Amino acid sequence: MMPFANRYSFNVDGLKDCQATIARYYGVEKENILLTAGSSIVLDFCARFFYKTGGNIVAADPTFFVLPATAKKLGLIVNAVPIDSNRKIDLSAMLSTINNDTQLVYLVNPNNPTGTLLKPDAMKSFCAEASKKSAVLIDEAYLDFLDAPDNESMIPLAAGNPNILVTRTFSKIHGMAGMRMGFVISHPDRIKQLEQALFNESQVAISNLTLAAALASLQDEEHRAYCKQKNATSRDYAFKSLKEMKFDPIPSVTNFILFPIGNDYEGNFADFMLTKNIYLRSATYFGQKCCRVSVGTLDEMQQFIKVMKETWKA
Amino acid sequence: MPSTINRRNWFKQASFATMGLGLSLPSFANDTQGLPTKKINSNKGLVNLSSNENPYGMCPKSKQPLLK
Repeated sequence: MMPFANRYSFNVDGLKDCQATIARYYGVEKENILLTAGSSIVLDFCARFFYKTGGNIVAADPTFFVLPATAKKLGLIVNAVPIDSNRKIDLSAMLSTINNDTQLVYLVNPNNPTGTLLKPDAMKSFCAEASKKSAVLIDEAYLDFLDAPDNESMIPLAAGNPNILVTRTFSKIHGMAGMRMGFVISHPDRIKQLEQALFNESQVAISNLTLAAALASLQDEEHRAYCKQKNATSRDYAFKSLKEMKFDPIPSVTNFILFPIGNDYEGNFADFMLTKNIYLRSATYFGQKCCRVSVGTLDEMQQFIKVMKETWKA
Repeated sequence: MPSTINRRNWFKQASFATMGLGLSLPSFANDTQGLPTKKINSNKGLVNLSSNENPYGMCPKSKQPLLK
């Protein structure tokens, strides 16, 4: 694609219709989709787009930080709904938290940092109910790690309802985090509004390199299946090993695991692990000091578990 | 260096701590949330399990059009 570095994508054979190609891959039309450099920018942008003085957003606690953090920064009230005792997003509590001033409901499924899933039927009912009262954004960054029927997307609902938006990213299963590719799908009326507020020709906002890589990646189901299977093997190993060490990791359907390390842990766990060459996150969620570890290769997870065993000698 | 964790005490504290649900919103802080406070000088030898990336990279077919 480098020979076409001097051309806009709409002047390059194989790329000129890629917005429509990507839309059709997900069963929608070109008018339903806005391409973006990764999906975090849509999350940040939607907090701005739906901003209203005195307004609020509803989001689970904990959840992915970008949208709530921007909302908070802008002065929106963030109505944080604690996850339930199974560490899942509490849909009925989310619904009852929506009020007349709610501008946006943000729901990450599967959720980050918990790695838990809400089933498609529950999600569909939630979207139908919540969208009567507010705009609803479903962040499906990690949905590709699941198999049918649990991987059913809310995209078909979003395509027909301006109050439902779905974001997806190529940063996870597609392995393109550094290439920056994502999108949002909604009803054409909503997409038109977003385009007017952000950028009218969203395809042009993405580099030819990234568009070409994304198109090729969509066609390569085999590689995605490979990544999914490898991820599951590494995740199962880490989960089982943590269990054997008497930790209580939250069963994850994604490429990360969250587990409490004990509130009597003194110091900064992420800092300590860095001294052992393991780079991860630690923070307090639902009142407990936790570690969130991404699922790497099996070799990487073995290194992680080795350090854990050296640290926690039971 | 962390000391060995006392399990009984851990569970006791953990269940007590859940009473504080919803009071603080650490997950809404920022993109450095939970990352080490110390800077990394080099990625060499580092096992990066911080950002939910895909360690297997993008598909080989994605790389082909980039090299044409």
